[in-house]
Amino acid sequence: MKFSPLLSDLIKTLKYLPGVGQKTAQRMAFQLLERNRGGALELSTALRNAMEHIQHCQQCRTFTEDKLCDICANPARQSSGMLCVVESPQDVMAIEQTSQFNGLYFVLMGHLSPIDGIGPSDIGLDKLGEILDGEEIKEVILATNPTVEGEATAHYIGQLCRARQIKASRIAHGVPVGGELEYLDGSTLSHAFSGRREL
Amino acid sequence: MNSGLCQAFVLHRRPYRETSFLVDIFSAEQGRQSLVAKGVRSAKSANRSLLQPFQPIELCLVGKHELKTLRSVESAGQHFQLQGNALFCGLYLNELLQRLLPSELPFPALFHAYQQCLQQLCAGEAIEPILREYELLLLSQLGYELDFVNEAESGAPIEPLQRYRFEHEMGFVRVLHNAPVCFEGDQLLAIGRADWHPQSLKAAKLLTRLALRPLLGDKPLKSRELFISGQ
Repeated sequence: MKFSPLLSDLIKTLKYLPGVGQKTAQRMAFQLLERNRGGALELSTALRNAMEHIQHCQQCRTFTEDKLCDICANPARQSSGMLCVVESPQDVMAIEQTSQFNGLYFVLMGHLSPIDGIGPSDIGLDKLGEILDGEEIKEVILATNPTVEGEATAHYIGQLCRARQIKASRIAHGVPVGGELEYLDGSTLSHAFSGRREL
Repeated sequence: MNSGLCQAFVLHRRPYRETSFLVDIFSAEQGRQSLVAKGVRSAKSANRSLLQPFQPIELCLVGKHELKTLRSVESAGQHFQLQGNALFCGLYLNELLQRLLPSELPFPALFHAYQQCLQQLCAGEAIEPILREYELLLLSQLGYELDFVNEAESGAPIEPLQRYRFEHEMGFVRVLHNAPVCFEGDQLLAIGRADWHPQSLKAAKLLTRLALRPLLGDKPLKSRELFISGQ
């Protein structure tokens, strides 16, 4: 049996969502048609608005519909002199939830990965250089992921900072809180040992 | 089909679907090999940290086709914690191998040398000789061995005081007049003997670039950018 053109179009476009295949898309389409047409219309307006208006913040490159995101536009944060470099907007959210950090962010939208053809200019490091030159930054906190590519990115940015005599620090990695040493993988444990600190 | 255990290093991994990785490895037994590592990206998996570059691993693969499936992976030694420029060099080696090695052909000598390179990089030894020796070994293992003793056309021995130009797939040819890119005979002899000093390193860098260029095609190596602007 073939679906009507509009219905198959809907199913086809629902498959754009991550983790959604043919079956799930069908289920979603029928659910919306049968039980929640109002919600579906809301979804379509929200989708359209978001796709048309959201762009990158001119300062930190995270997603926002304004020129500057809320964090960059906040004067208290601007005067803090701290800049935290992260790989993705989700990382900004994760750090914000801890409310530990009260400075500005810079979102790379990826990491250096030569084999994938991603070099320094592809993750906005020229823009970061401008920020380091132009703004009064006292410390750069490198919060890229603890993967080989994340380390390479951190080191590269560290060099940018050193050339400008700005303090650069790397976040610590080690044992998760509430975890047990016994079940920890070897490399995390060895990182935890090499990064130990005096009591 | 079970292909038994193999010793390997991860060259590169990229996310695949929700919780998996597509991984390219360089193994002692099978050379460059692609595989799917299912379920490794989930938060519970302890194998996430094993499937990273510069970590010696022992793995068991299954599958008949070119893309194998990872059955199990164990650590086979300590992770080489490369720092700074040594890390960039490691990434450069990985990119070279990923781009140049044909898949599923074993290169035991290259594998052994790769391990040694990582050890030397980890110990903080001078970077350039390590890279140059590996590049020359890679060229010879791929069938492009350079002859640093005899000329290409005539077979005459290379003289220290003459100048030579490099011809791809041939070797060194003596130049009578000044050519734009040419090598001094004594530097070529020094490279052949692995006698490293600033001039021979400079010549070797130029030479390996010239020799690798036709093999790499028109897509330049991205990891070189890390050095150019990083210094």
